[in-house]
Amino acid sequence: MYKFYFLISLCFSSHLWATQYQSPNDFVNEAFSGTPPAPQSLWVTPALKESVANILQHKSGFMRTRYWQADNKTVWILKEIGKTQLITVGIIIQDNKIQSIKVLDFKESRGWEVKHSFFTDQFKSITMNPDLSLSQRIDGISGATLSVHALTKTAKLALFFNQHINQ
Amino acid sequence: MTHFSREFSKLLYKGHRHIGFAISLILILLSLTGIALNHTSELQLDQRFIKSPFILDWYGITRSKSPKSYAIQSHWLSQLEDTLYLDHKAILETKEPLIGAISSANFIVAALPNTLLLLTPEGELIESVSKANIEKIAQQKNVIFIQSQQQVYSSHDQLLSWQKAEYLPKAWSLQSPLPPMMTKELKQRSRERILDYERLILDIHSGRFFGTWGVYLMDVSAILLIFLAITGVWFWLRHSIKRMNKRNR
Repeated sequence: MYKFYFLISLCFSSHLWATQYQSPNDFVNEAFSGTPPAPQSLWVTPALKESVANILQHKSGFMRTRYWQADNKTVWILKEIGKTQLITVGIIIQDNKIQSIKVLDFKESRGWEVKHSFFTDQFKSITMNPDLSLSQRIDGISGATLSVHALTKTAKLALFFNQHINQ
Repeated sequence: MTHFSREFSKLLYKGHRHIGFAISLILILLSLTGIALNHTSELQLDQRFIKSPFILDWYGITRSKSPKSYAIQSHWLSQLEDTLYLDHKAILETKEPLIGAISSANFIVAALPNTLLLLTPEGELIESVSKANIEKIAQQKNVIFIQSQQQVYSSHDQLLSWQKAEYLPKAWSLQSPLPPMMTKELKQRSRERILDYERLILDIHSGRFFGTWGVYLMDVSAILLIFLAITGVWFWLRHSIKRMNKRNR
């Protein structure tokens, strides 16, 4: 019987904490002041796969990602697992620097502190070094280590993809 | 030393030896399962599943539910519990129910109420596209249609962009019964994806694997271990004191 309760509590726990703060469409609309360009797609080709796996520290679970580009601005919607659930993150890059990063959807039961601006503001104006590291150190949040890692990885990935499409 | 305390010491020593021997197997079991549980991630215990029919029967894990399936060209896309299968192959885990599927020579699209999964013909995920309140999906030539909140949208570029549909598709993707042989195999495969090694080892560690009496046995073993630790320290102290006294004489 306890197994039944365990499974039920697991099912409910993930739904209880699942929160969408903003829909990806609304994020993109806001980024382009209501007139977003048509989405484009970037294929994770075998040449990109290794770098993507290095950044994510695991094999990428997708083969294509979409982005929106106008002038020197690109917007990315990326997903990465925190501990067991996907965190959806919206990233705006202006002139190869992160303009803003926002948690759009958070399903983990812990680590939601990463949605706050005191944490996400650290990413502002960050660029990517040639060794695929970020130009500035990101301070962690105790108790939210995996979510911090997930956000840092999506930021790196967005900068890497941005660099790739602008080459 | 009085006669009583000598007899008591003898009894304790005898008890220490016998109890130590009796619970040695349980102690080894606890240690081994404890070490394994300490390295769950490295050993991927939560990602490896028990396939033994005996253990699955012991847990009462059966499969009576039938998969939900959609015929896509010469293949089947099915969902049983939280797993999506392309024919017999488990391809993805999702908590959302499968509500339709379409395919072309280059890709497959699985529709869930809030997500469209774009897959390769081999079932590898190309992209997971968020889309709210999807009710059904269809395909006509190279155009993909979805119905969301009574409105039909079409995509001409493999799910990249959506427009309000100018015409309606002739047929929507409908659920079809999976052939009995495939149903049987999927049920068996699904049964083998429920109990992971971490759960089993945790249950052995706590004694729950052996039912209520197993838990009591582990409780008694824990109390006896405390007894062993206390008597062990006591014997050691007594022995040290005796040795010191002898040296001082």
